Amino acid sequence: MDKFTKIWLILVSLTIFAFLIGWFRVSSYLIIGILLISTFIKGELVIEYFMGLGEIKGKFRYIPTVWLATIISIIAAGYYL
Amino acid sequence: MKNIRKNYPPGDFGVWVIIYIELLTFGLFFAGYIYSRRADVELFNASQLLLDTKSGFVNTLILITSSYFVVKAVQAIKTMQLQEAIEKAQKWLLSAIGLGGMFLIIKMSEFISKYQDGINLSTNKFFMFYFLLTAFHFMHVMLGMIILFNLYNKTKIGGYTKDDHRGLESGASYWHMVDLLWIVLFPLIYIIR
Repeated sequence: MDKFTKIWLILVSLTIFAFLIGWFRVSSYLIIGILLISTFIKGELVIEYFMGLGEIKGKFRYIPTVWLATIISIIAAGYYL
Repeated sequence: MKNIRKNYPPGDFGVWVIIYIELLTFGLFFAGYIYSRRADVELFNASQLLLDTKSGFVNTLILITSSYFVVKAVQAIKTMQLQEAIEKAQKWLLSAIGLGGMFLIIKMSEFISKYQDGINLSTNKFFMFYFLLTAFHFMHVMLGMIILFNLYNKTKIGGYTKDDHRGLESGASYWHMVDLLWIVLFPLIYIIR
């Protein structure tokens, strides 16, 4: 199995996890925290491997990562604060 | 030459400027959604229950898989011999376009279902954001499919090779951005309550 197939399987697994949280209407602080972390991981996998930015040096690599971290932080702040 | 490429993202730099601008635009929409949700959490949570989580889930799987197919197309061009690369890349791209079409059909049926239930942009703030965000994303999927179709046509005539595939990488990067946006949209709109 190649690297990209493994990444795709991780993405599918994390998506199933997110769906189950929605399906069972779970809304505890802990579960939502885990969901947000898993969303960050999914986004990072797309940025690093699918977009190919993992092989790039410097600021261009980190702009989407900073964007994703900022958005997830804003969502977390809106949910928890 | 190799060192220069390692300092810049795959594809044309212009497409990355577009990607960064799109991320910023959607980011502002996401922040607006969160800000509005805080003002009326109960309304947002109650309205969210009216959405079809299964559609959102299936569409997430579709976009992730479509993105994976585009990666496979780029890999085929970069690593295989020309004729085999063209054949494989064509199949992967066509499959990715097909999945994009499925995404649009499911999303459109979701929109129609909501309108039939009497729900629209002016129903409440949650649905205003729901329709604006998902319709805006819908348009990006359509544009992405047009780009993928052009990549498919150029691949078919041998327009991309091991040494020259920058255009393919540019289009692929745009499609991955569409996927990335939906990866955030799905939990934000359908799950988190």
